[in-house]
Amino acid sequence: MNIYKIQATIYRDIREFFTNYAVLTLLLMPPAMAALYGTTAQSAGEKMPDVMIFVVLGTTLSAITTNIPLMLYAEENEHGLLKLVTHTRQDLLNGLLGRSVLTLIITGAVVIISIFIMQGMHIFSFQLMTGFILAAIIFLNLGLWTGLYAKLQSTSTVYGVIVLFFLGMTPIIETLNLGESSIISGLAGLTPVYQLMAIYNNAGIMPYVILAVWLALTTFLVWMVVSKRTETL
Amino acid sequence: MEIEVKNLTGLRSDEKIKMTAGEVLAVQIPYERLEVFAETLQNAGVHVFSGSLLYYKRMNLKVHIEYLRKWYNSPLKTDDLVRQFNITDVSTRLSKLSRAEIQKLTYIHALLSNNKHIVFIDPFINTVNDNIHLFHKMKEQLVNQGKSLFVAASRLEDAFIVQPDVMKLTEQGLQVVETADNTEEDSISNVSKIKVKANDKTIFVTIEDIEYLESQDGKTYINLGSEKFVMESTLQGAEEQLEAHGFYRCHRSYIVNLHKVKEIITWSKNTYSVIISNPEKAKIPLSRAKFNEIQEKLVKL
Repeated sequence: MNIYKIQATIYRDIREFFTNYAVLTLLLMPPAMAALYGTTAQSAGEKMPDVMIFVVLGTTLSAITTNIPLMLYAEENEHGLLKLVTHTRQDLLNGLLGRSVLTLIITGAVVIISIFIMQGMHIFSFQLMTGFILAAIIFLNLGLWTGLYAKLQSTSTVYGVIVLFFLGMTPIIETLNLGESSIISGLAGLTPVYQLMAIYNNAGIMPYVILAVWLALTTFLVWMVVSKRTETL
Repeated sequence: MEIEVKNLTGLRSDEKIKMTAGEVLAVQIPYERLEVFAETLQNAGVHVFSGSLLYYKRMNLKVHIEYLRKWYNSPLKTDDLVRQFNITDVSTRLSKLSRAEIQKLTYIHALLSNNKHIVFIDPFINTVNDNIHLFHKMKEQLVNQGKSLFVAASRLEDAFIVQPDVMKLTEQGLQVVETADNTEEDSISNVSKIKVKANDKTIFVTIEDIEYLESQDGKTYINLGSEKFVMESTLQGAEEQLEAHGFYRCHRSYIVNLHKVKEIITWSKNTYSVIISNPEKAKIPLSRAKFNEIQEKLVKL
């Protein structure tokens, strides 16, 4: 681990975040959704349903924590930019660590802003915070895995949309009234954002176990893709 | 650091290329071998700068320098580098800058790199004269930093821009570029054409169309714009034959048509080039000893 290289990556990515319109749009997406849902609930004179807060949380995790590193790595892969300073596995890991730290910090900031807009701070507890941190690392791993794997920016969009709809926005299924016996509901119940809802509803240890399985699986995928990518440096 | 020649040529050889701290090597390598050369040296842990300019298009030059400085934890200062490399526009994103401006970043990158062995591949193709001066500035600083610099050029004349002592990569390894032999030839004056060979044809070239002649591997080549022919004569013979037509032996391996000379450029205290007035602005090496004489000849022409 080289602290200078991690700091340098954070320095570069901060500039990249705020000059890349695609990244800026992703950053604005969760607060915009939060404002939209909040205003709709307010104008209907209703309290915001908790499930909508989890939809925004899931959107933040998929749009920011997954999609931003995914897009940045895909662009670097397409233009061969990774080779600018990355020549060894150690360099790749230092860059990856720097990008991960910044992405997690930005995720935290956007979540706080979005939840604040929706006036949903009441949902947070120590347990949910723990679950959220695990979920954030899972979504980050998904972004790093697909990002290092994607050769083109166009393919990264496909990966990004899949994660957004199938893993990020899954709580929206709750509003479709599919019934608990439906296969879709069953599968959705295994997704990371659903585990956050389960933690919020005091479902015991099981959500943490499922999150741990997700974490192990995605960490393994990142380890695999780092090894594969090192060969081409 | 030592690189085995057999890895570059694919042929059996015990020769090794030695990259020594504080030393510069200028080597002519055939174009078709440059890719293998770059790959081999990269795998050996050398920092290779190829012709392609890899940088973040949305960031400006100053942010790039600062990023590289931080990445390598270099003691050099960003503002000093900006001044030293004449970077006037620090705020425009790279996508809007010219290739020549972006190329300066590769020189700065080489200085900031913590790798002790630096390789540049064809650094003078599609470049401007100001950048060649900056390249020399970088070269001196790399030597002062105790780094080794290896410049691989597909064109012999480009290798001579780096320094007067040039080598070439052959199947046997690195060899000093030989001087033209001094075989006596009959002097022929009052001729307007000379005989050259192109495959199975014999072509008669008008002397005033010739831009320059060069000697490589014991053969004499005539350059006419985009065409190149082998001449049935040694360089010494060609010199005697063409002297009366305004040709001048500006280097051990080069004869230049003075009528086609556009300018002379001094890259460093030992390196000079004669610039030919053609679309490529070909840079022909000029020996230090000939620097004054060629000027006199050009004035009197």
